[in-house]
Amino acid sequence: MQNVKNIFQLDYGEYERLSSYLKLEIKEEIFNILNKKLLLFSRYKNFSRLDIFIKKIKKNIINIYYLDFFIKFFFKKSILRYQLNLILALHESDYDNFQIILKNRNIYIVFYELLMFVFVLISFPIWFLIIIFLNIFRLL
Amino acid sequence: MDFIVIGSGITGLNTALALLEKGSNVELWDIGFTENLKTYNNDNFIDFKKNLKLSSETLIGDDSKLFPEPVNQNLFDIPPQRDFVLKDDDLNKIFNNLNNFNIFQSDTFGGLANGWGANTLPYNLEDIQDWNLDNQSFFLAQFDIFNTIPVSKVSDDINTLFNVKLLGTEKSIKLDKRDLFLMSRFRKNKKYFIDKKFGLGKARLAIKNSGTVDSCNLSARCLWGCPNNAIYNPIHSTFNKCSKFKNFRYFSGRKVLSFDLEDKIIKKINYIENQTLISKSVIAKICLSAGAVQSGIIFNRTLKKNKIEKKIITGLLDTKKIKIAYLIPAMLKKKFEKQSIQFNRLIGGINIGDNNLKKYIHLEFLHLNSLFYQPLVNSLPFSLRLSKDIFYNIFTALGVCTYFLPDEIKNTNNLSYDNNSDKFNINYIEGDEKLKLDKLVEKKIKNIIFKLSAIPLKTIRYNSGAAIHYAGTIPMGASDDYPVDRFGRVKFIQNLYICDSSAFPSLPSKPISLNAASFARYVVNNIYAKR
Repeated sequence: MQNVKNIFQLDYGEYERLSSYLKLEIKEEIFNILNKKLLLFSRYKNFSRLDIFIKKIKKNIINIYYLDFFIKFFFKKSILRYQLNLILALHESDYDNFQIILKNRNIYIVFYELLMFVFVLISFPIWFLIIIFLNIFRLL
Repeated sequence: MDFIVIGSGITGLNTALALLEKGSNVELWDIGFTENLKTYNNDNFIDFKKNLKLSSETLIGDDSKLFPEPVNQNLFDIPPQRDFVLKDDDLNKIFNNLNNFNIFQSDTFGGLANGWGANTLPYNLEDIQDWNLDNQSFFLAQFDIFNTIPVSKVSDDINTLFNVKLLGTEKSIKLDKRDLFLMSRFRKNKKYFIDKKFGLGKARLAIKNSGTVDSCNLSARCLWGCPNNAIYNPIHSTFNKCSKFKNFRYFSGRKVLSFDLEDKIIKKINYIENQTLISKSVIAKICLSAGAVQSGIIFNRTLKKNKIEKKIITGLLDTKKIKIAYLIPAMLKKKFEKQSIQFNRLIGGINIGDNNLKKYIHLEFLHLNSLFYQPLVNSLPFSLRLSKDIFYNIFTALGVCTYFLPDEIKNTNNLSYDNNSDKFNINYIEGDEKLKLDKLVEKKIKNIIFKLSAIPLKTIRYNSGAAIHYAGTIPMGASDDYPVDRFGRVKFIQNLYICDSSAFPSLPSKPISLNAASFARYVVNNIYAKR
């Protein structure tokens, strides 16, 4: 049985990669608050096998792109979606990060990100099959 | 005791104050939970974030508060620290079936006024012409309310086009670049807009603004609340005024259930205090001002308990709320403004001409300044990274126009009591007429938004009840079928007065709160007129 705490909580590396994906600057103080909030969430929320599966997928930038798409449209109650939104909310509460968000405003980035989104949308079935294949034994 | 006032919201406290000013002995009863909001004084909303612990606790909640799940983040969920609105579990104890009606209720001292948007606009003769009121008396009460509570005094096209009285004592709030841009477009094309029967002007907000460029300097940091009383909250100013009267007594912790009658007079009030059911004998006039839904519940329960099977008209009203998000391309590259005030600074009105419903449609324009954006980012229909990039790149050019559709009593819409469970059902159906009106108004507003050099992006429709302008549960009318007379007295209970929007027989599009307070004062004035 997977340790419940491990399903909900993030290690510093995971936090760093998820923050980097959202173009946010990591902070130890935020990380500490984040895990306290996630621990509280674990007391109220049940997790599914899919949550366990997602937890085990390597969080590189490509996988996070696809996972972000997956949890937005197909697995809306996922723990990862909660974690990503909480990271965004906490960084928005932080003065330095909020300044970075404001400073990095660039309308051309939106067009690039829209293209990426379309690419993820089209290639999602292929990525999904690959992930299933690579992790088939973990699913069983 | 001369009077017992039930409810401590905007209507309850203004009823109590009006009675005290007449020299009455007044008891105010309410459930009276308190929020214990922390307040922090900072120059602006952004600098507040320099202390991450305070900032995250305020915006996201302290260690004991759960950050709401992205899948169902609702209005008032953020910030989680606030808890003046009843949660689903509490609502389930009151209601069996809500039938998709979005009900918002509060057991807190001050009630829903703890989170209101401070929007006001006085009802005019057209709004109340079929209410059978003593109009002169109502407008005198309205004058007192709008000039006692700090309301922006604004003279502009809204007054002239829609016959809106010039009331209020406070200076108007400062407009930002987006507001000024829309105002300049309105002035430039004024002839077009006047032909379309549309007017744009400054919001009449119940907000203290004197001595500062930004009301939020007075408010302390808050979201959906204003602990330092820049936004009018009756639990500060009006309650303090009441407390100065020696003949005022406040009883917190009393949840009124019903009244026992003898010979058409209330002899006992049944209430819960400290989890104990108490039946207290009273010799007093009762002013019911617990808000339209709670007053309606107490009234309906009283009818059942006393086996009053008189056939009467009851109802349930709410202004239907619709939002149209729009983009102002000229504002795309503008800098973010640190100005704190987060409420709409512009209002509009459209006269839609011939229609069975009221003619005036009220609009509010909101441009984003200091707010907590994660829930908005999360609501966009993209993955979170793209949503974030889109949102933060265009949010200085984003706006939302909210419009409200008026409502009328219909026999399909009411509160119904279930004897078996002692709970209530909410019955509410939006008729075809309202849906047609909605489409008509939406089309007109989109054209107006285009002419204001903005692009409508999306229309967001809410369930009934979302506007939180509840009324009409104990309506007044001349016919015997209506339970309340033109002075707010229940026709078949001699010592019961309805002093809130429960008594409204129809609901105009305009913001309700201070108009409901005006009605409460009108009822009190007429009790003393010895009619």
